[in-house]
Amino acid sequence: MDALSFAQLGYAYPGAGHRALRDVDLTIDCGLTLLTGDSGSGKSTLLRVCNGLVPHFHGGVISGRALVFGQDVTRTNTRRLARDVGFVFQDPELQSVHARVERDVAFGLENMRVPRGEMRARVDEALHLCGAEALRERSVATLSGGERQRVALAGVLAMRPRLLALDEPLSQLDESGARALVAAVAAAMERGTLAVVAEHRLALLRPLAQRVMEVSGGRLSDSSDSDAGPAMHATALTGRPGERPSPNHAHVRLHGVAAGHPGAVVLASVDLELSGGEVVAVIGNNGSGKTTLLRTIAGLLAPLQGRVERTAGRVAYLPQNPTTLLHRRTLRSEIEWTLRHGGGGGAGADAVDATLADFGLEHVAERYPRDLSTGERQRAALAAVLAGSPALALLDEPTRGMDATAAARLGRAVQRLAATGAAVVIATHDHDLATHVATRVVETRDGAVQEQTVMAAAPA
Amino acid sequence: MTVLVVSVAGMALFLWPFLALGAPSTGAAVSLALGTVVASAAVETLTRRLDSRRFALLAAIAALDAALRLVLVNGIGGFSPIFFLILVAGYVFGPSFGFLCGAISLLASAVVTGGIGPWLPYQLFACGWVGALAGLAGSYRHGAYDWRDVVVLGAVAVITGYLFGALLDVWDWTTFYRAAPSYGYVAGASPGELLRRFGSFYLATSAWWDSFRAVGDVIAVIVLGLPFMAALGRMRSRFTFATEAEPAV
Repeated sequence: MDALSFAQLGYAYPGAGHRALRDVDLTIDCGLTLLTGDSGSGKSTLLRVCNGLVPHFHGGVISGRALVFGQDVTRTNTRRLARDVGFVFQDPELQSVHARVERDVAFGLENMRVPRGEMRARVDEALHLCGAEALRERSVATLSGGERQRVALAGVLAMRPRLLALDEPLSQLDESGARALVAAVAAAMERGTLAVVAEHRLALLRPLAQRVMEVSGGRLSDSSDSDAGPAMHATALTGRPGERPSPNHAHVRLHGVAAGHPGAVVLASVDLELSGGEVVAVIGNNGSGKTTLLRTIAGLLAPLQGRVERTAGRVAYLPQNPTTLLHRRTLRSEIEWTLRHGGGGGAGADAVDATLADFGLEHVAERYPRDLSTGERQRAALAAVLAGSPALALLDEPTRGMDATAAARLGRAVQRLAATGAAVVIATHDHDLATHVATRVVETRDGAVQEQTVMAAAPA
Repeated sequence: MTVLVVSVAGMALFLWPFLALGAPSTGAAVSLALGTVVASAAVETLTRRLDSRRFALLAAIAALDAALRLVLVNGIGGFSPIFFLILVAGYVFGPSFGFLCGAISLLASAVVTGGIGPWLPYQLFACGWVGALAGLAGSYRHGAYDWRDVVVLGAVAVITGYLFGALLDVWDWTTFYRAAPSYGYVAGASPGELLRRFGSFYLATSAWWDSFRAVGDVIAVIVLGLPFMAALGRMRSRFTFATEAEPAV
């Protein structure tokens, strides 16, 4: 029996003017299938058919045939499908139920009424596969984004699904985290688990992949032989060093700052100065304190020790989970809201249109922001915080889930912003963003922030 | 359909005193009310019209209402913030959901605020009907929500504002106003006479009190109605899906 057998599959989200999937024919009976494609192309939608979230959770209109292990998706409830198909969401935050890692991993098994002894064994094994044994006793809320991703995968692997569906599992992992995750997937596959993975970062997964399919405008095509891949990303992000303005007055100064949660100090002693016109990339492993640093600079987190000085002006902060920012009924009004309340400049239609164009979002201006695809939502949140002229922009993993075009747009927007005299701080794993767009790179490691020598940005 | 059956049981409870049969006993009233609410929830669940997602929404609304009632335990006059959500949820999701929403919100908030007593069965039905009426009013509309929906729901808010008060007065009246000379409840009097007495009782004691509720609910619907309808409507559109044999372009 084929794991997936889709024929002439079409799907439209409720109220959407266009189809998210068109005439999709797909059969999966072995190995790992990699889905690539621009953000908003329909990758996530296709994955969500595998476990019935489309259409059972999302509603809408479905056509054609979709069989998952021989079961018609439209007639099988999601509870049944969840036993065969393990799904890891792009936002692992969506997927944690319990406060402690071990219980969270066991949650699926509890629902399947697996006996206690076996449950322990399966949880151990799943944590081991994901390299997350050390996290067992941790509270889920204190995990970094990458750690959460691995815990979410462990929770799914513990249920021993026949098919894994992973939605951009590497998008927020550092290099070592990504390798650990790919190793976990490989280990599961050795036991005969099949996998469908949507991802932009192909280099690590390509060796495992049986097939590479491209999704574009809701249509699926086989692109196993083409070589468009990781290289594309690097060339799209060529910086323009000549346009970098000289730094003007200082915007932010951190003196001997210690930050984190009481009892779990993440940053021990940080001295850092940021000037207007600078673009500072903050790199470092998952859990090394990048987000803590950004939140401290933003004033969202009071330092446990030391002083944070910040000159007046609007602070634009993009959290790692951008959906939390979006609260208006259309993307257009989201941007208007920022322009109206952010000081600098009016909220005229021109200003809004210009911001939409900067991020390639003209076609979704009237949509409900939270209904956009994850990649589009990320850009929507960026547009919403960067509209107008903030004095300081703090972006936490802004290229997460972005394709090359969108990443290049972001690079240009950041450089334009810096040219207005704003200081920009970007926490990122994205090597291209750090080398081509940033004027300075710092690394969070062992509780401190260290300057890195900037590699000469040789235009590709 | 379920609402109809449930409503017949509720009608019997409220009409009992008018049919010269005396006031119903508290025990019977409580059993009748809780029984019908639980039964209707069970029927809705078993027929899959109340699936896990709708059930979650129902629970969330009941919990919010319980919290709102805790904030404003005694209300302002007859106004209580709990009616707004019931009206909107009923309007968007239909009579059955509206009824359950009203009844269960009231039940949950009664537990939280210690408002359990012999009046509870009357409250369950009356509040359930608020949601059911809103649901009936919203049954025949389609498309995006706009100001016309605010007008319709506003009208429902006024009607139910007074209706809820009048219905609950039936319990008050039969329990506490037996001795009053011209407007009190007289067990065994003719239905016509009882109606006349009840009418003057209502006008004399409750009309102004209920006006707070009617006006308060209308203000809530005008100010908050549209965004809430839009949000719940968005949710409703996800609860069902359609299949198409041939993909259209």
